[in-house]
Amino acid sequence: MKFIIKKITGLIIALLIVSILAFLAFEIIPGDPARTILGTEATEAKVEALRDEMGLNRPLTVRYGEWVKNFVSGDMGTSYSYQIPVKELIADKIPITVTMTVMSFLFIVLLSIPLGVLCVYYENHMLDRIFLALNQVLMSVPPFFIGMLLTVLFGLVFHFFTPGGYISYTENLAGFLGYLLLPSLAIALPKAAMTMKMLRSSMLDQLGQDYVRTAKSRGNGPWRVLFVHVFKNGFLPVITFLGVMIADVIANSIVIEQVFGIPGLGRTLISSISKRDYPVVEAVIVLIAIVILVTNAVVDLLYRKLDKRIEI
Amino acid sequence: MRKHKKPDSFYFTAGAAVTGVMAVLIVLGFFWAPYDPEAMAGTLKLQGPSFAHLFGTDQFGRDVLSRVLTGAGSTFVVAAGTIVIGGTAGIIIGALTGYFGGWLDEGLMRINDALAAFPSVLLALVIISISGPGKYKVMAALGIAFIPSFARVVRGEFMRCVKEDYVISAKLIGVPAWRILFVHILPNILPALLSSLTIGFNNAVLAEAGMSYLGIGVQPPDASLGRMLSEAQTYLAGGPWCAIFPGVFLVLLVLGVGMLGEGILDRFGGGR
Repeated sequence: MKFIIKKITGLIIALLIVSILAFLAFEIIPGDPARTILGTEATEAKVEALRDEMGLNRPLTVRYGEWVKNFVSGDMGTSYSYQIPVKELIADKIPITVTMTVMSFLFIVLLSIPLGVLCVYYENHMLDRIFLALNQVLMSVPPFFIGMLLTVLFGLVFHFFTPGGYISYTENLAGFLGYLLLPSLAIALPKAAMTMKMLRSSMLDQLGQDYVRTAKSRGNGPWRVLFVHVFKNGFLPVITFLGVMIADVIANSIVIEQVFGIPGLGRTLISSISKRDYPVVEAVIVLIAIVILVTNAVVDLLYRKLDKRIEI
Repeated sequence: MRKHKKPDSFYFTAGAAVTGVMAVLIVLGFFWAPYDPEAMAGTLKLQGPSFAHLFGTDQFGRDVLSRVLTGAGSTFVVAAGTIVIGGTAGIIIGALTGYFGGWLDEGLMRINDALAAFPSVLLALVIISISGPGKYKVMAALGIAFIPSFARVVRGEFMRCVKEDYVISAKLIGVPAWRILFVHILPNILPALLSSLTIGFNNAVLAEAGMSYLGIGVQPPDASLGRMLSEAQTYLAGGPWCAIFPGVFLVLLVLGVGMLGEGILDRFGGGR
């Protein structure tokens, strides 16, 4: 219980820090939005009037409080370039990015766990060595390059999909999920390689332990020992690793959206950065930060729950 | 202690060999390229690899090999600059917080944790969105974004070393704190530090490539491997070599440095 309270306080502090940094970065440093809106030609009196109207002359703490209140209630400001509320601009893009992140995550788990256990079973055999080498290479490939290679292979050689032919989830859900398969795979492959390597070494560390010998001597077959006994303990450190990885998966999805022409949050973020559309950039970044901080806290709690040894 | 040893000498040797070859090519690219990387030739558009153009030519008839060599140079400069900025600040912050502890440690580490939970690429994007793109701005942005991860590693190592006998003895005979920090402890954490610097270097290479690919990193006329890949994407069907060669160069660089880092840890490092 004490741990849960400590974790939640930590999460709240982290959210506060992120919100203060985001507020400073986007509301203060970029300069005077009133001047930006009116242009350099406007007279000082006019700019001053608009500043008053926009509430820019109030103390920073008041403005920060206001900003947090608005953000929490869903008012994230108005996009400079589209002149529509940021909320409307990003609302229908969130499901796309979320789906892609979840799919990538599923790929990572589904690929790394069976292959990791397989490598432990065949430790130092040919199969294990091949996977180790393959892993080392995969970890070095940027996901967007994997995306390009997948495009060439499945799009241009096998005509398995149309590159750039994104299908919206409102039109055809199955087509949408199908189109996201390859992008998710591109994000997942390097991360799956890392997870697999980590699981392998973590499980190998367990093999020398007494409980493994006991489990074997009680007549459990080698697969059962690996999957039931060794995996349970070997997987624990991997959970923390997977939690940290969510951040990377989201970051990579931004780049991958560009490769496959998927109109998700990442594309909106990048085009807003090029156009210096601060309200949009701010909203997307803060949303991503919240998701990452909350998932990390949940993963920590989950880890605590699963690892009986550190239960207090 | 560990029963299952990794083939450590292999990682170190292979990593050093690949990194060495890439380093030679990158240094070569600073001084020499077979052709002018910007020279266009209308008659040589999208030619496949040949003896005259080993890596083929791109959509403007520019020599891909020359562009890979110069592009790798700026990718290297950005990545090296990133770890110099991030590493220096990270070592100083990590050393002070890890050695002295107290409220300064508590405060800085709270901020550090909030930032470290955040992908450094996104942090760099925030900085770029305010400062605008460009080679040196990317370097500064990534450098700042990488400080938390370096600080965290260095802090952990210093906290471990504070309790060691040689530090306690040094304190007792009155060695000044800065000397204990940077002359006594720092050399002892070198394997862990070097290994995290190699990881940082690789992350910087990948981040720069990703950002330049998105068009918010290195800007023309500066070349970079990421930008080459982004330009090549339109011509994947007609000239896949424009994408494959810069991509493979990038992968080999990251692969070599990554293996070298692991080799350093296996060979000289203590436990993680």
